Amino acid sequence: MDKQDYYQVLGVEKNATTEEIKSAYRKLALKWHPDKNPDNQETAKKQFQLILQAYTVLCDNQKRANYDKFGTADGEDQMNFDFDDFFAQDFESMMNFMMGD
Amino acid sequence: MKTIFTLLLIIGIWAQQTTNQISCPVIGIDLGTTYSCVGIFKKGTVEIIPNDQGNRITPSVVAFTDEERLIGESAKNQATFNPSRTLYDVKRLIGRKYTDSTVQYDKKFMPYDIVEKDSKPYIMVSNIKGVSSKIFAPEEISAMVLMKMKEISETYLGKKVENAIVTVPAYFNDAQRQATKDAGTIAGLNVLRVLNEPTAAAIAYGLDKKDGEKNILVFDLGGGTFDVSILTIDNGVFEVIATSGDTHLGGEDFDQRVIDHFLKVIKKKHNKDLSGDKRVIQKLKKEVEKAKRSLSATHETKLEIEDLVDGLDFQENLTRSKFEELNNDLFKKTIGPMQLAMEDSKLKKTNIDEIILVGGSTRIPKIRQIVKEFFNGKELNTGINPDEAVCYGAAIQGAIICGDSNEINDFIVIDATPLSLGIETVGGVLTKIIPKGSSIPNKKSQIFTTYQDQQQTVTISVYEGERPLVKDNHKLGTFDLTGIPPSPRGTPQIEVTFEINADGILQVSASEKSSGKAKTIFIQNNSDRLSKEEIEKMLQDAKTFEIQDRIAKEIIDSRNSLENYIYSMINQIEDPEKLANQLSDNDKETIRQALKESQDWIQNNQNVEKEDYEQELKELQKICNPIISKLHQQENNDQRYSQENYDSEL
Repeated sequence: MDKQDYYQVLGVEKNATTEEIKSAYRKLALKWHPDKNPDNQETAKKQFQLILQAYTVLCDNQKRANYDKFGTADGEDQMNFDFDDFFAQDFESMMNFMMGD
Repeated sequence: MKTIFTLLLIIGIWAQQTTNQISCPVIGIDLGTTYSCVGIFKKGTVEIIPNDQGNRITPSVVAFTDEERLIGESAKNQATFNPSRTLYDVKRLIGRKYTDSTVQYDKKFMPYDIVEKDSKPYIMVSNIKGVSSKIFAPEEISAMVLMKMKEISETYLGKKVENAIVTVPAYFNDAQRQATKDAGTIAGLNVLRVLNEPTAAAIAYGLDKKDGEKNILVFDLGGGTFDVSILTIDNGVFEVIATSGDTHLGGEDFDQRVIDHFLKVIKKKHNKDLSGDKRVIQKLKKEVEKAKRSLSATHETKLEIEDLVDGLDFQENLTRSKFEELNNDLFKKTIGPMQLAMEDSKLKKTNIDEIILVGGSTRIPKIRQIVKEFFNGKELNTGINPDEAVCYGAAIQGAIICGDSNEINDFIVIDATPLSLGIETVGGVLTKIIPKGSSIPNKKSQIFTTYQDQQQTVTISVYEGERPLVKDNHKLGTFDLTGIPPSPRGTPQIEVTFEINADGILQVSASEKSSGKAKTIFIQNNSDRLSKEEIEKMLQDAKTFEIQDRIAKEIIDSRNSLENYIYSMINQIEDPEKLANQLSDNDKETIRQALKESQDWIQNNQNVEKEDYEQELKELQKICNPIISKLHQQENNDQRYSQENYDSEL
């Protein structure tokens, strides 16, 4: 799920404007909202989650820039990883970064 | 052939799948601090359902008298005579901890007893019929109000109602939402959605708005809570983009300020400290609420209470400016949340297309002025009924979920979390997993690891709030993930998943991934929540109360029938226009005597069963009816006797 191309998920071009992204998200949300799919709850939930995730990243300029550059929304954060504060950190992001995943 | 067969099989399986489609009707209930409202979407429009008194809103008040349980108007009306057994404002307690400062504050003013149980506030009521005293969870009292609303809708619709949408303040936290949902379960309702009040109001406003994208701000100040939500409406998609508020600010607080003021005045004028007198406070409260309402239209009003205490007649004036002065700081408390919501939304004030006022307290001119000034003089939308908008929206959401109407097929509501949710990490730091303002439903996972070598157990403590350290936030619950394979620190991969459903209620799970064995543990039991067993027990209690209510009503009805019979009989035999001149003195005396005996019997038998009243009525009728019918037969010979009063009243 995480590996999906967010632009594809929303069906927009790479250079889409925020307005176009919003509009695409809303159309898809109307289709996939769990309230609209009582007989198809599981698929709807997953789909809704996916479009929501794509929308959250692409309509935020900072997150979108990170995504375009690093393939993940919080790319920059990984650089600031503090090794002394081991336990608390977002370990997966760090692993991904270190292993170049 | 084979293909066809497989295809048929698939269709067969598909057809057998149970449908999750919710059946209509789904009622919408606005469960307010002071008043509640119920509505239903029918034939393309919302109908707000009037209660048995014909009113469209019902006081959220429950009372216990020596004889029966009262809910709604009848409970509110007797509050001054029965202060310690009249329960109101329970929404201020629901889902909270006993030690919460707001609970301790309310405890000082509430005329009923708030006690601690399992670190939660419960309400102790003495002298309930059949039991000496009982403690109620706030959920149970809210359940009684919900039951009343259910009953109102059932009477109106003429059929059983099971499904409901119940609204809560947007700024309610996880525990408060869950507790409200539990109240619904106790009331025998299937709560399909816990809907945010300002969102509901926005739905009511935006149902017929189809002209492109609009940003609206809902300012919702009710009896006990304050919410601000900013939404974008775009062709049927209602998206909440920011929300803020104060779950302990509303009309009740304004009343309290005025009550305090008058208690001081009384002390000064009459040298009487009445602050501990529950009856006095109830009497004042009633009058103050009335005065507050009239001050929204006039500049000065008079408060009058005859015999407030010991023959003291209370008579005072209150001006609008004095009222504003007493509440100035409380009114200004609405600015902070407005500011915060605006910042979170990343919109400019000029981007807000419409400001919608909801909740009875938005009738206060000073409040309107504050909002207007905050938005640099922008006109406010007062076009929707502030008492009914939330209920209206809840009814529409109900219809959206059960798919009632084609007109609302193209609507969805995407709400947002009011508070950030996360877990405690090293150093007591709150690591946010789902930030506030995230759309719901939502699901997010994050990987954590161990801090010590060979660590086999991690404790996962879940918090909500915005402060960096967990000690400043609200704890939702704790659970342990055990059986982590011993390994050097930092090696295990513990995935913590937060899932928030459309009600805004959180479920947390965790699994250890590196061992290859995913182990999922759900949050055991949030200490703030009622357990399944407790809910089950309360559901049973609620049913018992329902039966008791029915029995109590039957007793009252049977006594009424007896009394009605007696009075109509007296009327018949003493009125010269009726039977007074037609009965022989002898017969009249027989009836008089029998009636007198029955009246005495009622006097001496206050606590008897329905059957006893019925028996008494039967015996009385045995004496009276033959005499009357004898007379009727005589009458019939001459002229047709027009049946009068007593017949119709029996």
